[in-house]
Amino acid sequence: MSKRKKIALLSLSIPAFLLIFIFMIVPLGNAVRVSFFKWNGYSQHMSFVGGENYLSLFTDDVFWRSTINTFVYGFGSTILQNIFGLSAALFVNRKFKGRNFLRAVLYMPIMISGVIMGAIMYYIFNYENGVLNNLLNLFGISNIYWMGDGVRAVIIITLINSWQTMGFCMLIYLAGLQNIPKVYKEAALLDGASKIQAFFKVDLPLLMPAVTTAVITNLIGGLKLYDIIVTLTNGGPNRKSLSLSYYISLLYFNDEKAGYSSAVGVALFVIIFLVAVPINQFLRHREVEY
Amino acid sequence: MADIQEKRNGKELRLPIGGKVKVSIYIISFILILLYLLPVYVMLNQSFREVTDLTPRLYLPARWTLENYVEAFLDSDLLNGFKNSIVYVVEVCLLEIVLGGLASYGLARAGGRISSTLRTFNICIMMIPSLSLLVGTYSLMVKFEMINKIWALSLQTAAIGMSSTMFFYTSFIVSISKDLDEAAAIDGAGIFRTFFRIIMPQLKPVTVTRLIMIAVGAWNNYAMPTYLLTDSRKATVILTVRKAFYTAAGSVQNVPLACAMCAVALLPVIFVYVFLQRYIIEGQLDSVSK
Amino acid sequence: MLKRRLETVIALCLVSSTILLSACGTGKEASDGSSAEGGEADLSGKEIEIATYLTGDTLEAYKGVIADFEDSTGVKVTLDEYGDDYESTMKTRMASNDLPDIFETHGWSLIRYKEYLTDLSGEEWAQDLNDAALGVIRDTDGKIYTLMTTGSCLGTAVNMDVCEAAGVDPWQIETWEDFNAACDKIKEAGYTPIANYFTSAGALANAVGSWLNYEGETYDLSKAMLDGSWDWKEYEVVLDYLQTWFDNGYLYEDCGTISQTDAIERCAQNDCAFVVGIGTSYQAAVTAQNPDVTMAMIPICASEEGGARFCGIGEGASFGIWKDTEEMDVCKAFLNYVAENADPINAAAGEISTLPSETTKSYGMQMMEEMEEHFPDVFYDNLWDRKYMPNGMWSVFEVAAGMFCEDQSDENKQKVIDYLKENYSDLYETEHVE
Repeated sequence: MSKRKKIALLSLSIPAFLLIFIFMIVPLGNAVRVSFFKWNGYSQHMSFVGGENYLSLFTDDVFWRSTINTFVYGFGSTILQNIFGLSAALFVNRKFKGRNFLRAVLYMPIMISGVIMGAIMYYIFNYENGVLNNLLNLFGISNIYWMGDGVRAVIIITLINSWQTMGFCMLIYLAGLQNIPKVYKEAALLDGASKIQAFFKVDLPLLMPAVTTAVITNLIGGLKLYDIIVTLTNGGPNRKSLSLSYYISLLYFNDEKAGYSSAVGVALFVIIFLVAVPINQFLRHREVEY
Repeated sequence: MADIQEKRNGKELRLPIGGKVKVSIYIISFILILLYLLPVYVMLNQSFREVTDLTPRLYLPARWTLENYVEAFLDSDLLNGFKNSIVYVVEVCLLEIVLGGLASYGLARAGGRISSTLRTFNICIMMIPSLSLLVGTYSLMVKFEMINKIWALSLQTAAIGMSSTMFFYTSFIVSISKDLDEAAAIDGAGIFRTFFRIIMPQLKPVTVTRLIMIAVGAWNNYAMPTYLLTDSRKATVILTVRKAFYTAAGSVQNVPLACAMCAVALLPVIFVYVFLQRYIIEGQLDSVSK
Repeated sequence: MLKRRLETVIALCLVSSTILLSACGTGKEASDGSSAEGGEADLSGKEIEIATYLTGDTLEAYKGVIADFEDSTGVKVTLDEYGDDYESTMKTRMASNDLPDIFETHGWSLIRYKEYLTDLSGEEWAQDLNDAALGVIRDTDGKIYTLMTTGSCLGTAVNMDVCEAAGVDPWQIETWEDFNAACDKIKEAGYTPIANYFTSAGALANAVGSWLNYEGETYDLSKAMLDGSWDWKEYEVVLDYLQTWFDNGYLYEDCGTISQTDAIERCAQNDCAFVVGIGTSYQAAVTAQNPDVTMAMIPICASEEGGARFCGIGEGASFGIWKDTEEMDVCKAFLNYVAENADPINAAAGEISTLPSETTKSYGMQMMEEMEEHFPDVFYDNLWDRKYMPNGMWSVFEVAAGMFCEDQSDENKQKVIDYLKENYSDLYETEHVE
């Protein structure tokens, strides 16, 4: 390839990277600057405090709690979505009347905004007069305080997120399943493998490429989880179901700690970057296989 | 008849489950549908109630009313919100698909160290939530008077989503044979012509998938728009609906009205989904089957 | 002077209606007419932006007032409804130094918004404001930055029906001891005595004055609080008392995750008796959900026999003008208009009017009068946190309320106090540096 051609090709990516530069790198620089100040976010007065904001990170329980939550939301829902998605795909892949309808219904919640979903889920998981507890009462079970402690709230949010966005995985696996040539499996069955063995030995390995797409998309969605938490738990009880994204906006707009908020933002940036590196390695390996 | 049906099912089965397959399939389907339609039921059920109706939310309204819908439809903000949301979604889709597609083509075809570094960088920043840069982005956009401008929000959203669009495009373009480009080059086509005439049609499945994800994401985007579109004339649908759930100023939160607003806001989404679901789902299936 | 203005408005309305009737004019001409008669500047065609945090019925009432103003002057008003996001949005707008021409100051006209507001002490309506209002919004140098049409009166909300069913007479409650005795009775009768929710800062802030600030109470620390020397040791008394609510099971089990909406709903279902430290708009909201419930207000209890039974007075609906507005005349005209036509807003908000122009007695006013019949010596003070705490403490209390609700052990109580103290000195320092 001529050098000129190569430069021409590379220059095609300039507008895209320019956008990324303006809206990610410049704000990052700005955030790093602000993170060295004590600032309430709106006053014209900022005071320089050096690395104090970063030091406070280490003693801030809410920060660590939110970091763990962010990972639970990110990786927890990725795992659950893949399990749910694969099961649903296997189920919908059977031929039965109404399966297209079922497929459509299972995919539908993805279209519903997290803000609306969270608001509705609030009424489902409410302690008194919640729909779920209404249902349990029908079976003679007394009310359960679903959002009673932070751990439970985080688990429920993860479940709801996985439930809501599972349809995407389902489609990806469905496509994968439909592309597996039948002969492979028949061969395995002829060799005396049981159906379960055939699934694990034949179907699953061939589905692996689909997994990449699913995992990446789910991780992006899970790590930035924000809107469903806002309307479902508002971060509670006692700020124990916060994601880092939500914590950052609370710090900025609620607690008036814009400097510290930036420090948390920079920390989140770094944490995600560190997580992305091994994932990147894995992805590059996979690409070679094409 | 039932026997034949069952036999056929038996043959098509991919999962090793024997026995009364058909009955269990329908039982499972039924449970799944209930599970997936419960929130929609709760929402609709609420929306037909009067404010004074405090009966458990699981059961049907004590008195049915359509008043909430009348009010929701008459709400000019909601209509305006639709308009803004459509502009916003179209802008983000165009930006991401055109710029992202071009950039990916350039990177995938150019090869070499620069392109490889850029791609690694891209994967690393792909998962970073936009809220981590809230303080930086916000103060930057204030400085350049980009608050309350839908185009500015579109640019910001596109910038954040650009890296995943590029990721999916590059891994796809790598698998397209270079012979196509070379043939086009021999015919005298320039880079742009090659991309838009030859490559872009090949990318249709990925484009469809990305379009859906970008559009759904932008339509439902809540975090950044809350802070960047503070003028209610510029508010998107989701922001308008969120307002209906506000409780400030001690007024009664009109849950039934809020639910009616949700239902109205979801109407076009569901409408589009029902009519396009075949294409949406098939498109996504195709994108993975490559 | 006021009379003349009223005449102007009446003339203006007459002129505009005549023109409308004869169907040969627009709003522009109408205000032309008024400017000729009233000697006012021509405002038609000008535009102003107004931001509001009002929602629901109150917002509708406000919109009505704005529409009338538009009709009578020809001014074009853009209304930004920020609702729950009002404070964050206003903070972002302060950061960009681009504020709406008129915005609500919701209790922060002096502490937070002062540097962005216009001094309005020269306006005519400023003379009409009653003392309760002036006590809240007048700065130490006599300046007034906001038109306060209503005050919110913060006391203890009572569901009379539940009290009656449990055989409790709320009018006999004077001290916290009495209050707990009443709660015991209510609990025995099978109701939840207290519907306070710990997702709000109010749970730890609104009633605090009754232990720490007033004459005849356990402590009088007002001075130390204001000069920044308070060390928060005494705050333990407050937490110790609140702990009795948890220990005795007065509260809802989910008091750490519910919102005001749930408290309103449950009260409307006659499920709970009291909410301590809440404005009269709560009672208004309950009766809107269930008109059959009888609600009342009693003051916040005293910590000692003979101590001050108090109510907090805060800014209700209050409107300020951005100091850098380009349409100062229009803004001032709008505030004048609101001052004379605030009735519907007050009625919808269920708060206490602070202007003599009120003609219909608001719901809040009725509550207050009923309370004063039984407690003639109620002590009124500014909202505790606005008066004694630095700017920014409200959200600190919100976090602290969550912490306390989760765990009331001595160790955690100390943690809560440390947290409050640390932020208090921090914020106090910030506020007094400038």
